[in-house]
Amino acid sequence: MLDLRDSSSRWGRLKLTTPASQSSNRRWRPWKAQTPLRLTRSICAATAEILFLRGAGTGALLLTAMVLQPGVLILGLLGVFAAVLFAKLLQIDLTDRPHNPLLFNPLLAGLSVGYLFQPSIPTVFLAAAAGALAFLFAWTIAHFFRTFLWLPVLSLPFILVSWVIHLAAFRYAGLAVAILPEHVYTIGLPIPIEGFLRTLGLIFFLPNVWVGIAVAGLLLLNSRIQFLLAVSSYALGTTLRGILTGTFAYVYYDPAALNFILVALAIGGFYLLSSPRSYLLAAIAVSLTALVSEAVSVFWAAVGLPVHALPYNLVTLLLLYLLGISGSRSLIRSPQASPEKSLDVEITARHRYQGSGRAIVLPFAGRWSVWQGCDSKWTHQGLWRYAYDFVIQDEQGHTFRSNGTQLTDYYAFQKPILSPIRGWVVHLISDLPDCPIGTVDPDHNWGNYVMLYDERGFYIEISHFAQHSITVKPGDRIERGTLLGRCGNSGYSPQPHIHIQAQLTPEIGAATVPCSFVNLQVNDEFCTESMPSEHSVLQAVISDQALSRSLTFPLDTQLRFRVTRKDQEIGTLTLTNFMAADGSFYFESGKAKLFYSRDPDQFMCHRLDGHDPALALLLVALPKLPLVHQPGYLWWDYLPIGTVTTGWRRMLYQFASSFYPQLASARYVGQWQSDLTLIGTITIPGIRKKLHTAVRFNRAYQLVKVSVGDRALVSQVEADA
Amino acid sequence: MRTYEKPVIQALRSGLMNKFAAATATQRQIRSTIAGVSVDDLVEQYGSPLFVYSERTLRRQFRTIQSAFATRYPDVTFGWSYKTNYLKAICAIFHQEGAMAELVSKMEYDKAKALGIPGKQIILNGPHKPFETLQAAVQDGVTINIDHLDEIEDLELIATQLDRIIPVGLRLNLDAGIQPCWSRFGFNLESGQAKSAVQRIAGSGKLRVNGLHSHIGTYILDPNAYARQVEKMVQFGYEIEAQQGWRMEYLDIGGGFPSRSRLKGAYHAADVLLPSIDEYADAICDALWQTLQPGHTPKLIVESGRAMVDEAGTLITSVCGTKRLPNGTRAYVVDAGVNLLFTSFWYHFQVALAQPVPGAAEPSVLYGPLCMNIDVIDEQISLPPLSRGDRLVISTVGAYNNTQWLQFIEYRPNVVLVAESGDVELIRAAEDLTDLERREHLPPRLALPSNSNLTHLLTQTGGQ
Repeated sequence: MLDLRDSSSRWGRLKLTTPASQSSNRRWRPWKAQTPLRLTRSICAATAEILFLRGAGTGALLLTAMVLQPGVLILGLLGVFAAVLFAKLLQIDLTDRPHNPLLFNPLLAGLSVGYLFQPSIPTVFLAAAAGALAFLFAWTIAHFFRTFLWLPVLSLPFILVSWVIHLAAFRYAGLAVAILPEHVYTIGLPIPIEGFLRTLGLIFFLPNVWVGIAVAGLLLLNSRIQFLLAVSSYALGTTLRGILTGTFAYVYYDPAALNFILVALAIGGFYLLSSPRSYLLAAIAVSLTALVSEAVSVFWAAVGLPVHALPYNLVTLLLLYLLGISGSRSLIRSPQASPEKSLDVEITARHRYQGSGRAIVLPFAGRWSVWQGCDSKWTHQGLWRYAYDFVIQDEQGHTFRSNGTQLTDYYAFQKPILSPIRGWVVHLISDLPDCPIGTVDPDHNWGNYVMLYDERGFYIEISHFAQHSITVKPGDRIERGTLLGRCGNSGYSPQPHIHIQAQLTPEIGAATVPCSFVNLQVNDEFCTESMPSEHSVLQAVISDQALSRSLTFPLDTQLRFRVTRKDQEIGTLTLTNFMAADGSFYFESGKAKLFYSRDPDQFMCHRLDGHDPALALLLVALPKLPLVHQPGYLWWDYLPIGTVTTGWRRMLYQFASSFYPQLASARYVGQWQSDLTLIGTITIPGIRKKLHTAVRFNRAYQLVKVSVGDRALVSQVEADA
Repeated sequence: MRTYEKPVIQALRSGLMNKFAAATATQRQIRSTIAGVSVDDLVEQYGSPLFVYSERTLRRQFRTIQSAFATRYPDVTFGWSYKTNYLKAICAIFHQEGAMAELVSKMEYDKAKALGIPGKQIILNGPHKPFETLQAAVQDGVTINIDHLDEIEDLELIATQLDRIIPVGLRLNLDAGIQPCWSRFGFNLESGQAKSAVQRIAGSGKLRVNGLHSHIGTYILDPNAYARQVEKMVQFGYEIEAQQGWRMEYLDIGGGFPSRSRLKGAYHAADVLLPSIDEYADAICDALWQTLQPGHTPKLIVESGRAMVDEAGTLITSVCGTKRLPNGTRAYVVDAGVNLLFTSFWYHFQVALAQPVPGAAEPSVLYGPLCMNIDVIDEQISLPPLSRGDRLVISTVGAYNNTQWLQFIEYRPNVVLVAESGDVELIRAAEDLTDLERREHLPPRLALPSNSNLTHLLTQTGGQ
């Protein structure tokens, strides 16, 4: 260590002072006060996840039930703690991950140790080792699965660890086999029902009917779909086994039946969007699980290993892998707390985010027509099918004045071509002559062209510029709307027109990919995004810069509102603007987060995390706002049905939307009613009455009032008279 | 059987050809319908004289001019110049087509507001903006272009009252290389007056310049004048940005495009003389692309009035008397004169016959109905012998006449619109005495006795 007081060193001239403020002492705080709380919460949440449930409260309830077997619980928790400490030693924080196979696998591993052996010094070691090993397995398998197979790990690590323990235990004579406590195996209900309830309890190592009732209650509370899936899968699986084995005497007592429930929950509604198709797939998966579990138990019993949830893992992973590889649209992108919520969010998201993902602005000014669209009968075919040709037509549909024999007769000729994107110029050709009308240049199909790179990661190629008209050069940084050159008739072009296509590589003539246009009029109708068809007449809609600026919020911006109902104040709402770790922005109200984005074309509220009815008003009144300001233009969006319904109605809609997907979303239609007020109408399927929303701005486009029905958020900024 | 023609002795004249080889027309054009509706039917229903507008022509002309600019520059807006023609129906048609309202006075502002135009769709120019109008305009979010220093002070006062910074445009006058060089509107660019105005505005910190306006004149025949205007404006806009950091959000280049009317003294026909609208659009937009920084496309506002509306307006007039002047020239008195055709002071109108009239054409004079020597519509027009009741169709009269017409000696007549469907709609009813007297007050002491009293009074006087 360098001694700063060494006078022979030049560093000696530095003057050292004792820190004046306490804040500089705060740098080293290895154990934050909230860590135990966070750890508890994470463990509870992970417990709930074992049965595809969500929430720390649910998990806490399940853990409490486990007190019936204190030894099992203690060793289970020991497994988790061991994993957490082991991870800490490896400088990995296990408590900051939302959905955590890294926590519930060690928990299950510890529980399984407790289920086998009585608590003692050796079993404490065994449980801790099982937890650490489960963490190692989970980490490795998760990484491998996620990276190469795009699959979840499920409880595979726990099963592996459980086998390790079982096999090792053959040599461990110092362990006392657990004495099963007096579980309530029956309370006099019909045998199949008690079998079902015990199986539910067994998932948490508690084959207790009362625990089963509690778990069934939690399932029902969380999701009607999950509850029905659990019941019917158990019925189907046990019936199949009964028929195949020839007797129903044992099926209701077989612990492997838990595989039926788990596989049905996973396939029927967690990883797949609930629908008749997913239910059918779940039924098939249950049947396969019955077969696999029988086979596994025969084979594994020979070596003295438990079956556990191996059949469920095997069947679920195989099915998910197949669905993933085949690009199934049934797979859920981000599973929610319940199948109902997944339906709500996922179906609505599919309505909301329909674009090509490569949204660009029109490459011209004024009204142009699509002469040739995608998949056309002339040249936009095969690899080059995603392309557009544009011409200018007059009211009679002609693209030229007088008789059209001269290039200058054509309306499109020499009209400016503008950059549809922000990015760079990659390469171009500009010296080919414009072909006289009636001739084409087959040797240079693309004519004078510009290849642009869009910084979102794709290329845009624009063709048939007029000779020497290109005003940019390779390497130029360009903004949307930058003049690139003039429309001409170079290359394989029968008449002056603009050809545009998107591609993933910069070579001229590369395969095309879909692209769409944003904020435009298609046949005089406003569209926020469109892949226009042939003969459509297009015109760009200029975005409102002032509106765009006003919807840009610096970090830590605070918006303060009074919350009113029928003009009576019922509370206040203070929103603070934050950025999440992934770069997305959100408003935090203390109770919930509203994620939003603002790109050059639109402001969009994406989702509400948490529960805050006041903040939800903002989402409902302003789901999407294209940054244009023309009274009379309409735009559409969809809201998850859960944001505009409550109570029984919400439950009914969400449940029924697995059969009728259109019930999952409410349709929003927005428009500027006047200069400073935009109104929205929300239609809930099957209900004639509409919900009306309004958002009022002042001249500086600050939010003044947001109202939904009789509720409103009233800002404290000054409203204009 | 042939119609009887009165014999006339016509002097044989040579030298009528001018140096452009255009001889005086010996044949008059016949125009028996306007926008597909028969002139006779129109007169029968709405009387003579009668202004007739064609909705189809209005919209077509707007779209042609709009498209010429919009396909060359991405952000173009048109400001409908109310003073050119502020009949409600005409304004409404242009607003439907997407034009803003370009206003120059309190009266025009009131008119636009009565028509329901939101402030965002209004541009307020003009040298006289009363304080109250300015106040209302600021609150309404109107685009305001400042004409002089006193207006800056007014706006600063309003900004202080409202406690916010008001975005404003600055009117410029500049030398675009043409004569006459208009210098009365706004601040002069070349002399540095405009720059001082910007410094003055920046100094007080109450206003922010976000746009520039300049109107270089009217009936401009050289498209390059606009190119020079645009270059100077953009350059000045960037100077302001460099000094004050205010970005130029719009460039308002005024109007001044000619219509297809022939100016008095012009030999050539309008089609020969006038550049096409595409040439104007090319000059203006090319200049913009050359001078603007890449990626910066401020809104281009065009306030074309005359070119938009002139051709859509037609006036039907009827002969009410024929005479021969002492020098032998034939003359006609028609029922519409300079009271209705203010633009006759500089235009040489196209006059067509509503019906074929037999007989040799001879140079004639067309007098209006006013009892004034100046009331002449055409001093030398070649016409066949007309009779009382014959109708003439005068075009192009859509610009300025319905705003500058005089209520002088005569009543102002009906104005109708031929809709795109062919239906004829009355858009301004003919005046009668109540329109004139509604505003008048006769002090009771000056009230004349009624007719019987008057006789009585006269009798009494006679008795003395």
